Amino acid sequence: MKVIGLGNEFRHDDAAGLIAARRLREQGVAAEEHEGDLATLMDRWSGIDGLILIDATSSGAAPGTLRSLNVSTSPLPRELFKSSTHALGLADAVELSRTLGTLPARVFVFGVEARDLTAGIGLSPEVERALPVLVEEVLSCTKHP
Amino acid sequence: MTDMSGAREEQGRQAAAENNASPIGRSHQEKTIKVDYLARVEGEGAMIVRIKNGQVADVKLKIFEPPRFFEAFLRGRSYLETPDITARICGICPIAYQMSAVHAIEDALGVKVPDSIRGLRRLVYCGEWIESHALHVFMLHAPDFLGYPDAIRMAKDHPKLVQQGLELKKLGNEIISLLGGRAIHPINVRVGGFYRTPTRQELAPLCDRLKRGRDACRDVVRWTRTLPIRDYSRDYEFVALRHSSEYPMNEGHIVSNRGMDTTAQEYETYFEEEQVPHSNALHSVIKGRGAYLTGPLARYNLNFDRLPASVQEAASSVGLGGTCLNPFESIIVRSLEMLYGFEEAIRLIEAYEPPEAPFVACEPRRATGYGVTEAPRGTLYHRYSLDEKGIIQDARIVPPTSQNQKMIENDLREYVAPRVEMPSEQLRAECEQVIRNYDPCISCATHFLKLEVVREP
Amino acid sequence: MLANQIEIAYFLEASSAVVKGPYDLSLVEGSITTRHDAERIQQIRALSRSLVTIGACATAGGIQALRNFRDVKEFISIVYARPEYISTLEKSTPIAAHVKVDFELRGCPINKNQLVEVINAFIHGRSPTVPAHSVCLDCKRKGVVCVMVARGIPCMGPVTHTGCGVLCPSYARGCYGCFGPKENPNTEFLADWFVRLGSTRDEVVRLFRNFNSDAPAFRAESERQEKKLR
Repeated sequence: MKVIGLGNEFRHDDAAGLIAARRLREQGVAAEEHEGDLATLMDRWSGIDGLILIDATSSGAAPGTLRSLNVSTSPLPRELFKSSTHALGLADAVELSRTLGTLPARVFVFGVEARDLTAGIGLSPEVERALPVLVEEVLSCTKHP
Repeated sequence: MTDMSGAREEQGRQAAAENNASPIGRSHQEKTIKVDYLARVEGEGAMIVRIKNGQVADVKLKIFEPPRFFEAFLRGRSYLETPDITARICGICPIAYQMSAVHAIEDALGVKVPDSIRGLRRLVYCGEWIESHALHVFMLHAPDFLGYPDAIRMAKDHPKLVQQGLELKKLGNEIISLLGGRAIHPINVRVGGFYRTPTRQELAPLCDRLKRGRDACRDVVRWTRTLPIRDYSRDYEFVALRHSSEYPMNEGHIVSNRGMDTTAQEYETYFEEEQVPHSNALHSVIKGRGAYLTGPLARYNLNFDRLPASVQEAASSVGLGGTCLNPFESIIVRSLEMLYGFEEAIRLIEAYEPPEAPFVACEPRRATGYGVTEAPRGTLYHRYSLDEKGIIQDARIVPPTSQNQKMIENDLREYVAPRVEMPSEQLRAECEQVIRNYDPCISCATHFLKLEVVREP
Repeated sequence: MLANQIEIAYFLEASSAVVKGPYDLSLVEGSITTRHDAERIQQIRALSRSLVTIGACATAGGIQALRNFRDVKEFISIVYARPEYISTLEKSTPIAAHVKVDFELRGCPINKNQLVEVINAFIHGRSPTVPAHSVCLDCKRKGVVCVMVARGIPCMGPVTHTGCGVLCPSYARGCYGCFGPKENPNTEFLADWFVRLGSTRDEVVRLFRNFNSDAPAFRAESERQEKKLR
């Protein structure tokens, strides 16, 4: 199972996916990080069987809310993830990959709701509190996919 | 290329489908139509179009936040760290930030790099122009012209088109990976040059792939001409670099089509940022004049004569001369710049002679330096003040999207004026298209865009 | 106490003493550089229930960098009684290329606590719990010359979690810690090493005060170094 944490180091809670990946590495999972451009993200999951993606969500839920979605056969809702009309958001990357036939057979997406996405470094307390639970959830997903 | 014959019909059908918004009557009801992709989040962007009594009352656009965080973060860091730190400002155009940074620092330190390094810098910039324009042309702009709300739905009907775009983008990324170490947060760009320069053998296989990309790009230019492009033009003040012999990337004077001719050192004499009332947006303007446009359209109009004959011919073969005032035609111009990127990259690789040393040694000193380079989206200005140890005391960064914001707003105002009766959903969608003509940088821009059309009696 | 539970048999490097055995646990440092070594390691393996190699940095990888020290006469005569062996070091191979290795204790420098944990683990018949390794190991694997040993460039690799594909050292620059600290990083030792290489204290502070937002270990070291500035 390939695990990729997504985000932006410099937008507060947007770093959540990256930090989750680091914490997973400390626990022996070969989690990777991806910042920036999501078109190149799609290249990183070619030829693999199972994929876990971790990212911050912005959907209006309470900050720190955790979500896990099995998107192997159902679409990833665009409203959950960062996606302005001017960019390829995570949902776009996943759905585009699905359309082009390059999406792995099993795909799980884990999200933690952000509170603060302004420029700066550091997680807000709600996200910080939610992270260990998120890491545990991803860990058990890697063990029992 | 994929079959385009169904495009126009599909566009009509799509537009009709989107028109199921509630009708706006001429009643006294106040109607607010929002696009709630996302809930309110700090750091979001917004466009608000206010229509009152059938007239455009106001258009406010805030899609961009100046990189104040990075300007503050840079203080106290070493001049050598500027490429690593500024690369993180933009996930899509890191090279542009690194180029403007190293040129500004070298300006401060009085460092000049040899031609071989100049060439490598142009080469890596070609990579970024290619990958950035490919992303925009295929993923962001093409859906507008083909009548799709997004690239995913377009990909269902036109998978080959999307794949072609991704492959061209990949070639651009390959250039950056080879010269920069990796495409995201490149590590090899250094003040004075590079940490390691490639051998001719390392560049050769890439050259063959670029030639295939160039040939594909010629088809792309022709394809853009088949798109249903709106007839629209504006009298812009274009601002771009101009060089004595090259289509501009890293060097040149800052010029405009209204007589400006200045240097990076004088940038702040001519340009300033004004605070927009009732908004926390900052608008970049030419002092005493107002809004201006930077980017591919500006470069093209101000530097057409610097393009190689092959690219000029490609332009005229699709009916484009040296002047292009239609922002919707920017998709053709970006394709031409992509073609130029391939041509120039091939030329540079074939002419490449490795330098004696990968970088020029630099001595820090107390000084201020300025740099302007042509990012894919336009002129990118950096200024740094250093102390005697080369520690940054102050930094100022003005990205292209920031500079275009006022112009985009003006464009929207003019665009909406004759279309106030249009259903809000459709109006919103068309406003988005107008914004997309400018290819605002998403990473520098605020992440979330909330577009509102607010109607008052 | 570990010391009470184990009996340690020493092998001096230059010794040609006959290898006695059998051994419960053999700790082997260094790489194979001569035919003699290659024969000896086979003997050691045959006589050991478990074989653990320690210290990837100063041995298997740093060896390539020693090519650059060929002119440092003093260095050679102190370390190597037979200077002509310097060229044979170019053909050094890791122990794992010759015999089955039960565990590799990586590190540059290795962590003393981890060594204790390894020994403890083998005594109790369990696998050692040693967390993820640093950039250094992958530099060795890739054959990238250590920029610190060979060029005196400060590099955060020894305390940084691997994963980038040893990008910066392969471009002849020091790692600047993108992947964050590995677990139990020996930051204090590394910081002092930077100073010995010629970095100023505030340069060291900046090296540890990077933009890795989840790196308390790095931040703590930068603060410790900052105190030394005053």
